[in-house]
Amino acid sequence: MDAGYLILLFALIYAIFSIIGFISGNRRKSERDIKYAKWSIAATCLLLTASAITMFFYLFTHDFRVAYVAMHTDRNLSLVYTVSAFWAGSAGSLLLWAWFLSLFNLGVMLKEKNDTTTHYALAILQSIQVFFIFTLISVSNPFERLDFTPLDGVGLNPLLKDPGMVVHPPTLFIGYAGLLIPFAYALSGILLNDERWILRVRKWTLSSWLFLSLGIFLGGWWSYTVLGWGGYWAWDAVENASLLPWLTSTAFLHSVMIQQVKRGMRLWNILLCVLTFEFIMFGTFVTRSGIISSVHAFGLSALGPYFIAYMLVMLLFSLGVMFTRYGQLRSRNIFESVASKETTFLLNNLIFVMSAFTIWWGVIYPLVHETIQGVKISVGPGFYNQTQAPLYLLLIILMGFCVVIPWRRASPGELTRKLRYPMAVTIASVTVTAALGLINVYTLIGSASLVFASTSMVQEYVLDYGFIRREERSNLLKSFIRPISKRRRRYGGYIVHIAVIVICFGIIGTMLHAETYSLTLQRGQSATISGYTFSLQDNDFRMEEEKRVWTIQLGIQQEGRYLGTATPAVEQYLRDEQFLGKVDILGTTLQDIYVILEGIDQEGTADINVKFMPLVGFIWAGGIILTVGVIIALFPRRRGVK
Amino acid sequence: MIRKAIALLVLLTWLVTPAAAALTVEEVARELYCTCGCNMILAECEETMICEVAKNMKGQIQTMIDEGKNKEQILEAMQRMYGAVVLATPPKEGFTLTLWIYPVTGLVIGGAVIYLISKRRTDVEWFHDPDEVLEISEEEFAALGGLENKGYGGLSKEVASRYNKLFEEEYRRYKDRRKEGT
Repeated sequence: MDAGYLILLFALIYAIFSIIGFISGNRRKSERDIKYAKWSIAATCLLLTASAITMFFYLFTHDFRVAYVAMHTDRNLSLVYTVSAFWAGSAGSLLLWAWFLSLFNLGVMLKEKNDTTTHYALAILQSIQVFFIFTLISVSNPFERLDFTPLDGVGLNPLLKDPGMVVHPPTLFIGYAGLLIPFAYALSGILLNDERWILRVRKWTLSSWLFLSLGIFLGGWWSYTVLGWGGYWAWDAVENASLLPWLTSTAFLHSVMIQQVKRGMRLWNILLCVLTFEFIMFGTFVTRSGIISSVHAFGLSALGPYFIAYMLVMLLFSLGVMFTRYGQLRSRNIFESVASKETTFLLNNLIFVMSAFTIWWGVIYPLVHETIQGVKISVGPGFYNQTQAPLYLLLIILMGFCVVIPWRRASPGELTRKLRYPMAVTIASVTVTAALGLINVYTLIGSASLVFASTSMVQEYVLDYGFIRREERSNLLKSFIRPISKRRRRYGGYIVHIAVIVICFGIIGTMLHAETYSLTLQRGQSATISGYTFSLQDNDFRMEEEKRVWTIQLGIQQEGRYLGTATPAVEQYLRDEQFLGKVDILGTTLQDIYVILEGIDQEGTADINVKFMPLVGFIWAGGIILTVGVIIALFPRRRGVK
Repeated sequence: MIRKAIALLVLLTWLVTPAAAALTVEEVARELYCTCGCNMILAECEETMICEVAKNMKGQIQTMIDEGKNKEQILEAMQRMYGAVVLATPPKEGFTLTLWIYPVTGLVIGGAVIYLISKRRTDVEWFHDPDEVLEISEEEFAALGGLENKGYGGLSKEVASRYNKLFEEEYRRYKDRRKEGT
């Protein structure tokens, strides 16, 4: 038996131990049991770390007797990609996930208050861990051995040999693993009738949400820079699956505030946590079952039924707990007036959740259709664009109103006073852009709502700035930062909102204003498109160790000014004769020039595809702003302020 | 008034409807999936890899465009050749209407629920400002829950209600100051 496998077996035993320990410890009020349970969590974490190290060891030593190593690496693979091969397959990525979860469990145990609520949450987290380890040792064993020792491995899929592969999957998995914590605390909270869970999960939810967001971003960036179709989001089933928990956890981050300030939406918040959990499991299922077709899927495996059964069991368990504790989940009413922030929060939740359910429906619809009608169909980007775009537009407009309207109730005077400037700026900006000749209606509507949302946010800051300046009489610089440092939660949130607005500008630019041109150039020839001159300076063919590479050098000039040389390539891998395009991107301030080499014929005539992608940089910039916002919101407070 | 509204509507539809341009292969290829097994939109497949299947399908589209067929006719012909799975966007009719009607139904029901909730105005209490709630201890937070969490977290009911009053007062002061400020 393999050492890694043996370690996993022990980890399973300790994970089960810890659950029993916590339950019996709290039932019998036994300090000793709880101590054992805690040591078991540490042991689970230690053992999973050991099994991960074992896997790394096999990868580094090219131990091809291990099937996983033989499937995903070969002797020529560079060190970085050998590391990333850890999560290149279904079993390895599941192991990575279990390992992250064990680290999170250890973190929760060490950081959180040592009371029954935490103990029960840990027991639930460890039960999820049991499921993962059980899956690893039964159907998806990463340490499975071959009967023979291959001379060399199959190697990593060329598409995966990219820095994106190194960072994107782990980031996403950290987000997934961390978002199990609010779920565990929510269940523990209702089991024990303890509402404090909503305060306790905040830092875990926010930081995991950040990782999930960054994971999605990195995936988009990877797709944009590598896949070569000039897109960052294809509404593919697996991409959608990663968006589902993001949408529901974003809804939760908002609605949890209503419970904190008004003790309302108690049932709803728990439902959102359960939904997030189910969607995370659904995503794992979609990626691994092979039931739903996707670009990203790992291929058919026996994991499907396991995950479906587990999702159902956990759903029934959560609903059962909620049903038995229904009495204590009774919420207080929320509304003092319809003109209040509360209204915008409820609408925000409706839109987020409907968006998630619509995407989910689109993902499973081919299955539904095939089952009922017997015909296989596809649900492509058209469906998602048509259903999601109006929802997100509503969200942006709502964002503008939400920031302006106060909690509890707003008088009509207050509303008009606070709405007049954002409205005026919006109308003015629409008029100016329309007058400048930009008459695409979608762009106008989209950017109008974005301008409205951002001005209302800036106005809020200016008002707070003036207020604090008068209040504290501090110096100029200090009073710039004071509103943010004093209300970190609020301004952290607003900065994330700004990030979303910046991203939306990028999305509008790339979705509605990207332009594609095909060029056929011979060496020395050049062509001019909308002010840019492209000249084919050189082409080249070379043999590398594992591939044939055709490249061109395409000089790009803008009105006589030299911008740079793009060197897109086509590579053919010797192992499987697979062709792969390597794009080159020349970034200018406001747009990317995206160059794809489609092919070169015998005489050296190159077919080139050029895409102008306006504002695409805004999307990546938005990712950075979002990170800053979350960090500000997470920044710890002074302790003991009463 | 109504006449103006209709005129505006007509103007809007005219603005939204793109001017009839010559049909391009790209335009049709956006509405189809490539059948090579890549699970990508036909227009995108060939940009990622060299794909003979995509090249063929695009060729077929070009032939049909040259024959003078419009987009719907081409999509229908492609569907007959490759099966319904090739269509990227299911039609808003027949059985696949269930796909499209779903989000609308959800929004309507959800909106109705929010409307009903907004009618309930009794038993509302303001506990904390969202920025301040992070500064209080868990025990105070639980104690302030009032009704449900009786004495949870070790605070008596009197202490809890005293906190409650303090917060109310603090909030009112904050509001006043804010009003002066603006």
